[in-house]
Amino acid sequence: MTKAICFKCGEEKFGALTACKSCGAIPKGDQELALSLVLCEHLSTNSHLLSHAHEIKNHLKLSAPANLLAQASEALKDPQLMAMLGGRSEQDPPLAVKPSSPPKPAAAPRPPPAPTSTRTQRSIQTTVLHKNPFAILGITTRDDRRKIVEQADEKTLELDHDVCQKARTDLTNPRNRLSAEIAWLPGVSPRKASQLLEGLLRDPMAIREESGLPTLAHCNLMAAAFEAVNANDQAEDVAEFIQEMAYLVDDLDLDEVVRDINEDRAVSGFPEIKDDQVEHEILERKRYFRTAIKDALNRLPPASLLDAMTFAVDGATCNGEDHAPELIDDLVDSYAVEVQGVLEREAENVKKLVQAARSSAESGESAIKPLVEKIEKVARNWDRFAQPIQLSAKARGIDHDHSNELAYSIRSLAIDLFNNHDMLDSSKRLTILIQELFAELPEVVERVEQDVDTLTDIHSKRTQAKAQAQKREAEWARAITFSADVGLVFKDTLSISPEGVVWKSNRYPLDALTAVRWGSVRHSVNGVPTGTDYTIAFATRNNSTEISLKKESTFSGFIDALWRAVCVRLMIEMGEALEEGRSLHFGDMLVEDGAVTLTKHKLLGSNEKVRLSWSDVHVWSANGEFVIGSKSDKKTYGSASYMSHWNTHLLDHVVRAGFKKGISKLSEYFRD
Amino acid sequence: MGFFSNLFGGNKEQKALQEAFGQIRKIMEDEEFQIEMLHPAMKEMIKSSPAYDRDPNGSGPFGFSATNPIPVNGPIGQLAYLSKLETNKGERVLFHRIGAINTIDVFEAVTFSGSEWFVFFTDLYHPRRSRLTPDGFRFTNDVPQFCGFHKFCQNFPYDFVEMKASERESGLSMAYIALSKVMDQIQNKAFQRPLAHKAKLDLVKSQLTSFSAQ
Repeated sequence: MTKAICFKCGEEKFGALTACKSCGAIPKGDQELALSLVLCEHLSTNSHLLSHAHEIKNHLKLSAPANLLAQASEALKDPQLMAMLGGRSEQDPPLAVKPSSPPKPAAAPRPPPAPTSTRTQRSIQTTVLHKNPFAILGITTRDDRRKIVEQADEKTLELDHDVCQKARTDLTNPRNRLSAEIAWLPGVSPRKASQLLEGLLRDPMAIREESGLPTLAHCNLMAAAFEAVNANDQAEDVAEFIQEMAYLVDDLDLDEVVRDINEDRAVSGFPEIKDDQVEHEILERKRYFRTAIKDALNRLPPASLLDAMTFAVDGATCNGEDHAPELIDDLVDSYAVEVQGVLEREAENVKKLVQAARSSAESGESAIKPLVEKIEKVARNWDRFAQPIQLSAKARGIDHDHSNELAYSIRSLAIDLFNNHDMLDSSKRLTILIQELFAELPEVVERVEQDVDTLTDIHSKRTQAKAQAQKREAEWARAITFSADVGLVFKDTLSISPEGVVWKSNRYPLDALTAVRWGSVRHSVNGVPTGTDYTIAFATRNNSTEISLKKESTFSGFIDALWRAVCVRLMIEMGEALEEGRSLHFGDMLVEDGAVTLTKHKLLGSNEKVRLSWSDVHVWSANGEFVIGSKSDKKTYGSASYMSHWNTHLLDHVVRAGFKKGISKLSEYFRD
Repeated sequence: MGFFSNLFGGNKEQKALQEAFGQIRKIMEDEEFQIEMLHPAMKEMIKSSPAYDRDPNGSGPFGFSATNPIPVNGPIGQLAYLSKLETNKGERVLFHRIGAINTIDVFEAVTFSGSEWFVFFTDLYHPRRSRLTPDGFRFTNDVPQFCGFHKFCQNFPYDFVEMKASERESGLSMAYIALSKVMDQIQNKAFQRPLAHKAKLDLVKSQLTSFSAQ
């Protein structure tokens, strides 16, 4: 079934358009249906699904890419799908979905952020904005020099004299005035500015919901609101606030700022300013915004700080897939410098553990496991710090060298554990860890995916091979198992199994048997059959045993099993012995790998031995004997009795089968 | 042997071939014969059910909805019916059974070219197959050799060759289309499920009461 995320509660479910088993929500209406299609593995990767689940569960804005939503909407036009959905596909109220991938036009209105349940109202005493010269003197950007001086004198009665004089100087000195204007609320009417400043103290976070403000003024108000962030704030909310600020800063437009300031200057009688002057001040302002966010983050508990950074970068980059706003990149760069020491220390710890694991590998998997666990723990801690940097690097298409180095160090251990020590479990565990922790490194991901595939494949093949081996073993055991009672009155059991041959309570292990022979003799009186005697014999290095049987079924059943259990091995051993240059006696024949020595039978005089190559002889059976004779001389032959001479049956099989194969040496029969 | 003897079926091999073709045609088209091939218990159940072209109480688009399935005569009737379908553009479909919602069998289908995908619902407990077609379809004028399976294809439709081979035991394999009709598309990986179809499958699968190993 298709893995999906419920659009309402963020829990996992199966099937994009099905009901959620956790909250019971069923997607209805075009937008919910389209969103639900995006929230399934047909359109989103697993990591995106996790990210979306996180966003939904934490009431963050969903970063569903617009192109995917468009694809989903297109799919929903399918008539049969519409019919299956019944009345579920109708217009519904817009969802708080923010397309993340398309580039944002500079002045495009941003959808208002959804209020989050974690945001609490709080008030503050003052902000940096309240210390702006305009705020100190209570004048507007449209007031002229005379008014500034008057107001400075008047304020001296209630405020510190130096502060008032400095404010006066800042506002009347052209260079300082520009800094004060940029840090104030350019383009905002005096009355509105006053209201906004009051509101900032009463409910700082309300500024996040404001719309229609000039961008720079809004940025300044937001930056001031960051001063209200405290240790009780949820990491998710701070992360969302950072993203909102970052997008807003990205919208800053130099022309707009110049226009707003010059409009006021035209009224106040100060000389107009030029683009290049403002450009420099805006750069300074952006640095200030970054500092304001950093200060806010530093007020959070360490764990929340890490989470807030990670969530902010994750959300802004859509899990490392999209470019982040400039402010986020700057923030990450600044963060990277600050955590460098921690990362280096933890990376060093991981490397020491990797080294220790490598050294302990000889001691076996039990020695490695605790070290692998420690590596996992330290690497996870390392990753908590590195995660925002990794995401940002992925979004910017650059490598994070520390991550690469650490990932390859762990991967190298995983490979060594498997290649050199065959520790599949530990190797797989480390590989999966790398896959999880370094998912933001495309090259690492690609290689590790191959590693995982390879290890999984090996694991599966091993399991299969083990199962097949067990199956083969069971089949072999079944094939070589035979048991029968022998004797009419006093019965003895003759049996053969993987445990060996048992006869008269004696057990002969299969591997101990070195020779076998068997045969039968038919008896008859005056041509009338009177029965058959069967003989089976086997030998070990120390002794031999001969068994006489009357029943043909017992004889043939036992020989079938004996052939599989013992004879195959003996034939292979025979082939090996011959290949090593040894010669073996069978009856009156001397068998070598490439030749056989037979007897030339003479009518007069003594017989003589003749050595013939296998291509010069032919074979046949007669009178219970296996006979090998010269092709060119009928009187030259040798024989071995099947029943009386050891392993004659084996020789018979090897020679006849070898001849069929066209061999010149007997040992060639055993080769492919 | 002379010319006329061939013409009139005097040739033994020719006669055997004609008999085989006759048998194939019966399997593909003869509704009675299709029912006769079934297990006696099922045969009885099918024969005792009403024969109609569509369920008078059905609702929803005919053939495309579990509440308005296509009446057909048993599993072979399913093969016969779906194999006779072609889109209004003249494309026949490959199909396989993905499971059942109670007694209604659900089939996934794709045109031979891979251009369109469908989900069909059929009710096999009827003595004859429907004479109607779902919207956008008509009956083909081609010889309606089977082009699908009443079992689940793990890698539909790329496993068509293997699945056809597996029908040898049932004796139906000779009633199937020639592989050449779909091999190009299979080799060119022409069959890609569109998003809408995947969503349909998800919906259907969430309702299945029985299904093959998926």
